[in-house]
Amino acid sequence: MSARQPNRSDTGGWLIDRSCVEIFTFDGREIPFHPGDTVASALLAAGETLVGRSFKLHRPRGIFGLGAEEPNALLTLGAGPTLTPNARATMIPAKPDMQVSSQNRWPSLKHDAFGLLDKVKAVLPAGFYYKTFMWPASRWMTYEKYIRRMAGLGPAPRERDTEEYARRNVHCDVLIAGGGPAGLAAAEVAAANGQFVILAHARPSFGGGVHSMPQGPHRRWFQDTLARLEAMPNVRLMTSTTVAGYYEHELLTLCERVRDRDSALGTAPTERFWEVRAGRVIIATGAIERPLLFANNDRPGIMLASAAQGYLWRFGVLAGQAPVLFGGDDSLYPLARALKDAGAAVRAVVDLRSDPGLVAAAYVADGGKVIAGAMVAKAHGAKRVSGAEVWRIDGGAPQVQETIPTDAILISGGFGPSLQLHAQSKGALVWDEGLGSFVPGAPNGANCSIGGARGVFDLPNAIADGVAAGKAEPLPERDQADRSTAPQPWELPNPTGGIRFVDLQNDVADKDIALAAREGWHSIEHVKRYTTLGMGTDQGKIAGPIGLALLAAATGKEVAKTGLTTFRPPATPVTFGAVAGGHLGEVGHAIRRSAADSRHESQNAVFIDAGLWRRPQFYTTNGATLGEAYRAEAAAVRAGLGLVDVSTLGKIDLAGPDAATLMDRLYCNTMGTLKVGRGRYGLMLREDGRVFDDGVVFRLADDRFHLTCTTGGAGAVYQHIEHALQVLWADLKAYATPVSEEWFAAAIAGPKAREYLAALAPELDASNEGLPMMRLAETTIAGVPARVMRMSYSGELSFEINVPADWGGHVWAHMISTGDSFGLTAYGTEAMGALRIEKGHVTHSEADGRTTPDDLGLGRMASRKKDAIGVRALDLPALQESGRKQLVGLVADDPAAAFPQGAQVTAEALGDQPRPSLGHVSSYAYSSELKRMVALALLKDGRALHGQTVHVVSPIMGVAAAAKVTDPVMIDPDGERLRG
Amino acid sequence: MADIGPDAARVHGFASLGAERPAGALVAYALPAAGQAAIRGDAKESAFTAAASAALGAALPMEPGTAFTDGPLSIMRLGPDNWLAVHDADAGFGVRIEQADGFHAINLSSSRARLRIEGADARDLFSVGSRLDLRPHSFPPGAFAQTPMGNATAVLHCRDADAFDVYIARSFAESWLVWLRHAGVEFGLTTA
Repeated sequence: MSARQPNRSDTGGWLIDRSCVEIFTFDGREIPFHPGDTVASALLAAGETLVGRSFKLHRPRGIFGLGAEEPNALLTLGAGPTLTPNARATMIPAKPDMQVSSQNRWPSLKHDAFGLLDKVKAVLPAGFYYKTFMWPASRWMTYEKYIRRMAGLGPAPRERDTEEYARRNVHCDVLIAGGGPAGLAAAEVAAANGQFVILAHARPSFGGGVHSMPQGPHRRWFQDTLARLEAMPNVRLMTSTTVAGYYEHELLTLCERVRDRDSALGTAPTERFWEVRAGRVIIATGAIERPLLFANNDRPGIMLASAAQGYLWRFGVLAGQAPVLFGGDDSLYPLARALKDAGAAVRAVVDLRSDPGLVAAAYVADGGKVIAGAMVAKAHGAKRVSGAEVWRIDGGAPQVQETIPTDAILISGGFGPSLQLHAQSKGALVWDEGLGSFVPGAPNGANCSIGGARGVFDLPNAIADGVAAGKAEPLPERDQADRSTAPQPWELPNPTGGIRFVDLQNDVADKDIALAAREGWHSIEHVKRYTTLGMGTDQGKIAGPIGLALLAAATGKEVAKTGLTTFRPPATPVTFGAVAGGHLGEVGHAIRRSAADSRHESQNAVFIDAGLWRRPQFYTTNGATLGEAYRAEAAAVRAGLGLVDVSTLGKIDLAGPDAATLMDRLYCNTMGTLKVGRGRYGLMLREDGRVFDDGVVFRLADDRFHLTCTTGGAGAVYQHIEHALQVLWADLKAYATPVSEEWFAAAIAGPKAREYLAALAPELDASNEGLPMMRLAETTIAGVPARVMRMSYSGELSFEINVPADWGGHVWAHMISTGDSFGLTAYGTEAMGALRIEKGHVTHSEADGRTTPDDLGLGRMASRKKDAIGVRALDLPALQESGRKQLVGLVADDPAAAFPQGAQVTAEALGDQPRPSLGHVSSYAYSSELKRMVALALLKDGRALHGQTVHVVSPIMGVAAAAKVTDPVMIDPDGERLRG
Repeated sequence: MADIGPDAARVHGFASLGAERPAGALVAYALPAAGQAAIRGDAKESAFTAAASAALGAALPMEPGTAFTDGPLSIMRLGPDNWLAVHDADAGFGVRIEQADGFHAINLSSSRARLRIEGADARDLFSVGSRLDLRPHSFPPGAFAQTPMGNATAVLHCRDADAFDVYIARSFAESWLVWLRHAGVEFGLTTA
């Protein structure tokens, strides 16, 4: 016992290496520790009793538990990019040089300015914030800022996380959650039967409760069992691994904290998130001790007795130098003896039972002090407990007996199984009167709970459970405990009337639950939300059962019928990094690239997302901005020659004897009459008559079509066709095969397009006679077999060239170099958009899921000579009424006017009065041809407005521009340019 | 026209490792361009299966999830009416099959990047991104599957206990390699 570790004992310490002392810092102070310590055990050893401030009342708090159930000791690890808030000190292995800070205190842990909240706790009842800050609603933004600072846990990290995270998906025959004695026994038996076993244990070393016991044969059993497991090739042993979630069909999620286990990470990630699909699951997650209710039962120095036992044997740490033990069963006495042997001056055992029996008598005979039929009714002290006020409760009204000076009150209200995983799997929960606890009932799915997790708390029987579960045999009959003569934790009187906490993490007191019941919240789910009982990082592992029983008492219902709140994953907190960290950036989100992508990059393309694709938005030279570049690119197409990569358009091969029949049913216009080698613009409708997608179709053979669809629609169109083939018309013999990946596609457009094409494909007759509009020809370009399709999106003389994508980059480069002598300009999506807007061609901005063919001015395409998906819906009166929005063109009056983003269209200019909207601008661009802004808009009865002046307005931006309503085709209405 | 296109590796900056790969280590490398074709038809129609088998020189496999492999030719039944045929050595295979008579086929030789991943840790590497059960007894040599893997969807074909062919749609391939390299850090994956 050194001066720097005043509470370190020579007893126990099975998990630590006493030969080595290292240092971490807590709020800047150096804390010595031995390898194997947790942050909590090191802080306790160093005499750091006060470790945090409570969530709502800012009361001083100390370490209360031993494991994941810890409600108080939430600390911040690290700083900057590696900051992790709300780490449970009880679960974090101490590491050299780690930086640990307390939370929810300002300016310091000892002198917390908001500690005065505790003084006014009488006016901070359950639901205080709901009740108080509701009015006036406008002030909430002001209140919220202050409430945020006062309440809350650790700070969220502000910098980008620099840790590495990884994922795994594995399958196994048996997943065992919990590597204590029961889990180890189960793993060995299951593995010996040849099953592939995963054994996951939350702490860095296996053993669980074995380490909370004095030396004995069980330690030898543990070491031998672990050694045998380590030698088995069909066992995956996972330490520092929490089983966080249990989902349907034995899918479980595990969070493996590699950093907690291995100091030198090397190429390993900080954490790994596992999805395990198991044949069956064995839940061996142990039990959790329940607290006792008394005034100021949250003071630092008050701790679960099982935690104190764990700290002694695992880490050689005394929870206090002069403890008082308080509970209602025989397990207190061996602990009292062990603490005495380890050097603690045990002041007394306060036993709730009036006749505690032989074990207590033997303890008294050996000189120990026992106060039977009594309770600790109040703790004295503030930042550390200083006294235990004992009252007799064994007859009539409680009577004060004495106040025992002490620095630690170790409490035990009995044990309850850790139910999280069983309950997450939607297994039944059964109330066990003897234990005063819910226990797992009938499982849902291939799982069983064993050992402490089903209420079997003694070592031999827990191991017997494990053996049976490992063999997949029925578990031994569980001994049904008789109800103890001691009162249950929630039955204790409160003679001093002081505040008694049920949920330490959320500052929920027993009277808050009583208040909630009086105010009409009778469901435990409502009480949870109203009082915050059972929320937070500990999810009420300790508080839940007590709060539930208090609610049952307050509402006069049986506990069994009050039920528990829903258990949801994660059972214990998992970092966002573990869940999402392996999916950041391009690792998680693919970017689709055209075969010419690297060529675009070397041509200084600026890319834009188009679905998953990235496409050149424009090509920048000499620092040209988007606006400058696209205007120049569009003008170059109209004046000379442009080249654009259109590989992203969806392409589907549709073939089979019934292909033509299917085409006629998919497209609202006629496709069956299309001649081989010819193309046609087609429109697909949804069942409700709205335009679904559009594109040009070429017929490659009698029984084969090449469909194109929009970039964004490619996946949905393929699904639509498969749906038609598999569900609607399974009798049709036709096969749809996506071929978007197979073809690189580029369009050439402009007055010089034919001349240029002749240079690219000398064998091809590209004249109006040789290759008329909507015809397909096969030729060779740059030594590569190519399809040339005469069609136009830009409104210029234009050809689309397709080559197998393996040659895409090669052909693009050839086209660029061949284009030198033609003044070729590569253009991006922005110029392409400007060109199509001038020509009134629609995209999904216009075919937005609300518009019919007629709305878009394409009503004549819907053939009534045949039936196709969506055509019958066009007869619905609602789709034929006047007042529907129709597609028009808008041309700005003023060449200098700007059309704002998201603009509405009104009949009159903006004034003091609101103006009714005629419709909205769907797409807009600068027209290099008309030398002003143009737009496509959907206006009420828009076709009747041609020639009128309207106003393109954005009241939010204070912008308005007068514009003339026109036909959507704003340039070259007769299509002269298409002929070239 | 050259036998294979200048971009035949299908992944920018990712070439064949060739003979340089360290023995035993986990490696990923691009396979030389292969001919690939989709074969579509009704498995119950003997005219279709006979014509396809004649053109391929092998019977269409009917077993789902198990590839037929004979020398350079592999055929995988990806769906009830859909087979993927791959020829390791003949880049003109896809065109030839597409033009064969009596059944419907589509040349897909440019559509997928193909990689070989080899090493004792290969199955663990795939388990980073795929939820399939890839343990040797359920995914033995000859097995294949289509599976989301990381940021793309793969056709995974087990060629040998520790050797796999992975097919990725070509537009996704470059991003998939970003995922692959990230996933491979833990395993010391070597890529070209």
